[in-house]
Amino acid sequence: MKRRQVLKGALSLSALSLSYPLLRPVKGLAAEKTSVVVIGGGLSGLNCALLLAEFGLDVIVLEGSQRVGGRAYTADGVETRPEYGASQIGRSYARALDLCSRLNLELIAQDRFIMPMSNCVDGTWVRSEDWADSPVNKLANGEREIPPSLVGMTLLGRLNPLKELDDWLSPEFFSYDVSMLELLQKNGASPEALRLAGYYLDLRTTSSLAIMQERTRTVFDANFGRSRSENTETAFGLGGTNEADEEIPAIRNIAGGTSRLPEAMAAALGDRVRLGKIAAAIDMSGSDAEVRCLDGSRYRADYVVSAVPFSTLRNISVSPGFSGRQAEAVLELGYRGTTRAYGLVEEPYWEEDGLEPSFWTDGTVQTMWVMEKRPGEDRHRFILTFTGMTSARIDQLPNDQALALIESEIARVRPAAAGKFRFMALYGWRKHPLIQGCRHMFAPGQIARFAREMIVPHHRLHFAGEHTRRMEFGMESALESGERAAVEILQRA
Amino acid sequence: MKKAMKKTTFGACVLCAVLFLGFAVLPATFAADDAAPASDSATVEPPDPRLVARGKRLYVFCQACHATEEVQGSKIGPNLAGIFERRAAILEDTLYSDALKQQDFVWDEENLDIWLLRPATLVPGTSMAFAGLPREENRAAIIAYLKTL
Ligand SMILES: Cc1cc2nc3c(=O)[nH]c(=O)nc-3n(C[C@H](O)[C@H](O)[C@H](O)COP(=O)(O)OP(=O)(O)OC[C@H]3O[C@@H](n4cnc5c(N)ncnc54)[C@H](O)[C@@H]3O)c2cc1C
Repeated sequence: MKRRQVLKGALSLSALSLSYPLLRPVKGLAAEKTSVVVIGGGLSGLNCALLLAEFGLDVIVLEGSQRVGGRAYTADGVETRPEYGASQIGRSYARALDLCSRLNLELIAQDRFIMPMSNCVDGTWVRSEDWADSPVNKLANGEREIPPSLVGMTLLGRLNPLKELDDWLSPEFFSYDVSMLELLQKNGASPEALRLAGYYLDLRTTSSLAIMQERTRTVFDANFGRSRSENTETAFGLGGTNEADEEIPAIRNIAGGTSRLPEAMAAALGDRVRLGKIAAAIDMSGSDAEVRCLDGSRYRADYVVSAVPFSTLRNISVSPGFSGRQAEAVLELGYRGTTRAYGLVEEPYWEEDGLEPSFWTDGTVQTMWVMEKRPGEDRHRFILTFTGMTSARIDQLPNDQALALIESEIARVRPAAAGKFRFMALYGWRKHPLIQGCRHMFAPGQIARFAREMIVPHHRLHFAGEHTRRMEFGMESALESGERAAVEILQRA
Repeated sequence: MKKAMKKTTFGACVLCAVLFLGFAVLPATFAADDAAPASDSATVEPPDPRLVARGKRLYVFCQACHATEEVQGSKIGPNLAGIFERRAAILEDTLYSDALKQQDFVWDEENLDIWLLRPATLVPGTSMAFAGLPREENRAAIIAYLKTL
């Protein structure tokens, strides 16, 4: 084809698309009218829509991407089908469990056992059993037995004063709404503890109280339906273990992948869910609300639910605009990135260097979890997790370059592993343009400042999303928030 | 604790809500639990149908954990058929926290009201993860609904 022809084709195409709206009957331009528009097709938005529909309300879900589920995201096309987002379902996940049973989704005991972990600190390797007495261990008494990968969370956990799930919202505990660094320092954490914790936790920009909310919820889950108290580590830290003697496993997964849950919810909603609809404006200046999408489509509704993270809502034009502490929250609520690389171990390199399969280092490669083989698997899977500054180091690069960098870093710190593993996928949540992080994270002072105010309905706009939790965490907090927004609207409607 | 209750257009709203006919007229009210205008919370026999209808909507907060028909058995929380005036923590095959098992009260109006405001106030260490209903009339509505189970 001649260049001129191509150009001409392109020109006429654009001319067509320019005139296209004029060709349509005026009716086609009218906004679609419904009772409630839910913006965001993650678990929070879908749950809200399902509950409203159950009560007979007309509802439309606008999802900006081409898939529902948001941070519930099973990589179906990838070997071993890794979970880029949520996977662990605790025993006290009332809503998730109820939805699974209603939508006929099977839950299976989590089959992900992390193999023992050696540590590489300042270039020296230490096996887990030698850590407490190792000369490399510069931690203070009372800290020495904590593995380096758990130092920050464990020390913070010891200071946690929260008992009930809603305590974190009570001014009584706002003195804990300070940075992890400040709280740990004040309570005598050693400089080495702070150094080690600082590799993977954002000590300066994270509210201790926010971490304690999650810990309290984690412990609640661990104790749920049990008569004894359990020791658990961080939320979704892959640390949850299942015990053989229990009827209901502590951690379960959805058979076939977490994405099956939002997909089943969306299927139940049918054509109420619209994909590829990026909401750009919410106009509540008239007698109802109008949501305008980037593709020019418009939706009029009595109520609107923001089920998108504040990292995204802050870019949507809302009128009348937010004010006061709510405006602060929408604009300033902190967000975190997490990047994970998934792969397979081709040869058990640990047999060569005598260290344990999993490892933690104080360098770019933070944590490598190697999983026990599942029945029928011939190789071990592994997951590398990057948080804080190291996720930034990875995220700035295109995937192939990032993986090459990680591979060379592993070969450098653990030469025996060089060439003995293979990557299948890399996923960084900060790069998701409509979510921009793996989760919200209150900065020091933000809970006291706006945690309660941020969810108060703004005119016809209600708020859902994991960041608007009250009692829950993880997927359950997303579902909890959708439920709350639904009840708010049911009361007004 | 009793506040003076305002009688408003709420009744009409609930009626159209129950029928789900549409949303032409919308009260411009505000805030989570404060969203609906107040209605009567007095305990009348037989139960005020409007209050029960409102309680049923608020029951969305409860339904993931609590089945309402006896045949359904207990979900993650106890079955609530016949809950009113029932002794605490007495169902078989039901998960109760140790804290609740140690209690010896009856789910009467007063206990339900404290419980629905904030469960941990009545039973510290409870395993019911419920954010609570600050508005008395909302608690009254749920209680009215619970009485019908
Ligand atoms: C790596 C990782 C691991 C996790 N592990 C677990 C776990 O094991 N267990 C657990 O319980 N939880 C876990 N979680 C947490 C859980 O995934 C989240 O809490 C939950 O999925 C959040 O749901 P949401 O509806 O609040 O937000 P999202 O899922 O982020 O949904 C928001 C949706 O809004 C859409 N959107 C954004 N902007 C617009 C716009 N302008 N217009 C239209 N649509 C828009 C997005 O595309 C997205 O689909 C994990 C999360 C991550 C990231």
